[in-house]
Amino acid sequence: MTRPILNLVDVTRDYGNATVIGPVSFSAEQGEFISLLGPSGCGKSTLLRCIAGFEPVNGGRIELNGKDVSREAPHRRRVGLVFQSFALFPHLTVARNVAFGLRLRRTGKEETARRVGETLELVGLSHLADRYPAQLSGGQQQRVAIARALVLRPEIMLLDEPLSSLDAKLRLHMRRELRAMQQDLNMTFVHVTHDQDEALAMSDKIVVLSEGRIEQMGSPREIYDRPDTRFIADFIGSSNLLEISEIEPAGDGMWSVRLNEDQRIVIAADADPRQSGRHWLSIRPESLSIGGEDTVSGSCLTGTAIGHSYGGDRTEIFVRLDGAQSDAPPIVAHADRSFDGRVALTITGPGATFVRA
Amino acid sequence: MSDRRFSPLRRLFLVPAAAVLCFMLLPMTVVVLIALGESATYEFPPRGLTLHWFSNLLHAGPLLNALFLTSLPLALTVAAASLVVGTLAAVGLTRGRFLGRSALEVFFLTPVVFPQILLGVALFLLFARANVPLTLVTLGIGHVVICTPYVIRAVLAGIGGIDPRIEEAARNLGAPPARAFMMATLPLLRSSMLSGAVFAFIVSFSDVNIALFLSAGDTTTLPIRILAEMEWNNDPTIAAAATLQVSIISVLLILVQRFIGTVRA
Amino acid sequence: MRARTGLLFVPYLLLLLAFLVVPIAGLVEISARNQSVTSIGGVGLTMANYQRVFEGFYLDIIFDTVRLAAIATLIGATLAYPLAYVIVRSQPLARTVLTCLVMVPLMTSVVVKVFGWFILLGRGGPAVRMLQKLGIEVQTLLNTEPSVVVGLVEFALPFMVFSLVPALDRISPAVEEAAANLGATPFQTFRLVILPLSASGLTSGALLCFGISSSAYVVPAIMGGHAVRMIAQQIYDDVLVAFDWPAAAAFSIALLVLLSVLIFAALRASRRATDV
Repeated sequence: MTRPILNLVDVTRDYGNATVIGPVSFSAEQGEFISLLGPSGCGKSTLLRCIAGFEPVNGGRIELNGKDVSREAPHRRRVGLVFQSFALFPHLTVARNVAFGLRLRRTGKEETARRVGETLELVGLSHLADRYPAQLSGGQQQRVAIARALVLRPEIMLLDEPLSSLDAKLRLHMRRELRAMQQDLNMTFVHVTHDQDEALAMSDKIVVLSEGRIEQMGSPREIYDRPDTRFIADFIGSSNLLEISEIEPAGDGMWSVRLNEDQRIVIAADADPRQSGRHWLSIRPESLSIGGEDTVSGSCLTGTAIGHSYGGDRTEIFVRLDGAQSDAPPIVAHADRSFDGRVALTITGPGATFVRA
Repeated sequence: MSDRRFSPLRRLFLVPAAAVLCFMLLPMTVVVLIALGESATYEFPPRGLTLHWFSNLLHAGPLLNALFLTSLPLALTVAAASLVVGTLAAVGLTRGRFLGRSALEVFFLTPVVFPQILLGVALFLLFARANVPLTLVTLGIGHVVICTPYVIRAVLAGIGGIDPRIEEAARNLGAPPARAFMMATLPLLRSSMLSGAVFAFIVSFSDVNIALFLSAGDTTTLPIRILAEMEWNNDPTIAAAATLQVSIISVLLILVQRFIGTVRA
Repeated sequence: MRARTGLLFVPYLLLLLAFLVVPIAGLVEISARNQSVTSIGGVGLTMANYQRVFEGFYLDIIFDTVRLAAIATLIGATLAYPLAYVIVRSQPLARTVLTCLVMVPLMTSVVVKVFGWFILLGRGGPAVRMLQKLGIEVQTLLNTEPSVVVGLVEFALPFMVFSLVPALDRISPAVEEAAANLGATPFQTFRLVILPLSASGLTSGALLCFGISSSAYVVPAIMGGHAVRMIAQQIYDDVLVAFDWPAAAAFSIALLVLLSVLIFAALRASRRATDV
């Protein structure tokens, strides 16, 4: 196995008595695109600032290319950072913004000019080299911020919610462009976001954080299809979460699940969910197929359709399950038309999993 | 002070900044300590602690008169006059839409940056040539000229911070324009006006440059009296008077900061 | 309504015209008169007073004044930066306390501050005694150019601090972090980012300090004694001691022109700098 370019080992960070991070451990391989994903206040930006050196770590260590940099001042770490606000130098032109770091490294005049030129070309801003940041659009400013960090050929690039200050259309475009750039350069990107779509679309690996700890870590597909916890199932995409009252093996990797007196269903799982304490069922709305009362069979959930909401390419049907508690939220299923009255819900896709509370 | 925020420069600057602050506060502190010391001369560092020089102040006629008969009533009157003139001017500036409005605003604030000593000379020569005797009135006029901009600045800042829709709402509810202003906007300006007036008071109370030329005989202000006496009378009573001056200003500034919020001078 | 409320500024306008513009016009007029024992405003019309301003005695005073004010401004700006920066980057409570601590010397009468220096540096004062203990024989530290500079710096410092604070406030902490991330040491960050981005505050603060220092009377009069002569002292003596009003007026106008030229030049320079 190759040595990871970035390696966090039991990193903790606290403000006085309050622990905001950790302990957190994860690593990134050369050329990997990693997203730190979580709701606001989960510590993802703080963690990024720890890697960049703007927040001291109180415990554990951060290794960059095998070297412990936890105690090193920010200006000595070879870590590129793209700020959420871009943080361009307003008194310098685009070219001089990009040349800033090279100047500090006493790079020769010619080499500076060449590398600034190359990098501006890479981000497609050669024609704006002499403009000031205030004269640029948000998207252009962002490219300058990226170029400014890239030109120093850092060992890794950190991006703090880089797309959040762009408008929706540009955001989708920049997603693809950033990902393509990262793959072309074969560089390691660590990207902080609260937008799950963004994380799913761009990343090789997603690290989901909640309250300063890693909730789950894995490829986008693993995170979406095999959520470990209710939190992940609910935070990534949308999911119906049902508490299980009894699980029995049904052979062949199948498990018979009883939700209440009226509802019994069979779900596939590789390992015994009882041993990992998974007493909740997460079912994606798109994995539920809905039919009228005539479709009721041995392994389906039954209930009453109580409303629907039209969403263009699909219709969401809200179903009150038989035997459900009165204050439980209705089950959501996707369909291509609306339903009324008694319905049966059958699991059709891979989107039904056992999760921990 | 926690150092949650990354700022190594702040840490580097902390000691120099503290040293500079001490340098700035040093001479005032010396005066206060002399006023509290037991020695009958300007002895520093002082020995013992006494309020004797403050009670002695009650028998020091010229200093007492300068404080209670000249400086305090003058500063109060000037603050009141500046408050009225300055508030009117600030409201006029923001209401009127006319050519040269911003130029007028700059003109109205010039007394803050205009060399006060020159204004003192110019006013002195004006009054002398017109045979106007120098009284508290002439001195007050000079002070209103330099104090009013502080009120204007505070009120302009206050108006800038008010949502114009509040007054529009009042008009929408049926108030005629003048009443809408009096009922909706003016009450919100109260703290700006008050802080402006406090600054006007302080500027008048500590002025030397205008008073140097416009105060004479029985209209000698406290700063001028201290200036005249400190070099020749080796008497801590003068320090007590100066301490009183610093205390009044400090208390006013702290009150403004505490109850009205940050107002930049 | 609009037209009438717009007239609310008229009282102050009249006040400024009568007691700022008219007196200065009067100064200009007197500066062009001959001194006279019969008429206090002077008689005739002459440029002699301005010629005098550019002769040895007065010219020396102008040079000394400009030199001392420039030194005080330079030192003041250097000392003000750390304090202003710490104020801006402090938590709200510390910031309020620090602001108050700078506000008090800003608003306190210069007389009180000079009084303090007089005791500290004067005859038999602590500074002199300390030097005597070290074997350096001095009677007083007052009445020297350095003592005047000390007084001017202390007088001008709070003005400088409060000019820098709003300029520094506009600099986002993220920009400083960006500089550090790109490899700048704290001092490089200061030189390459903070200094240029607060140049406007530095310029206006320096102008203010220079204006205050070059027209200061109390500081040089008390702390400079007979050893230092600055413009304001000469104006004061010409008006109230020598009764040579035309000379005082010409000198005043000269100071005013000097400061105006300086402000104009600085404004143009800063406009060019921000004209991007």
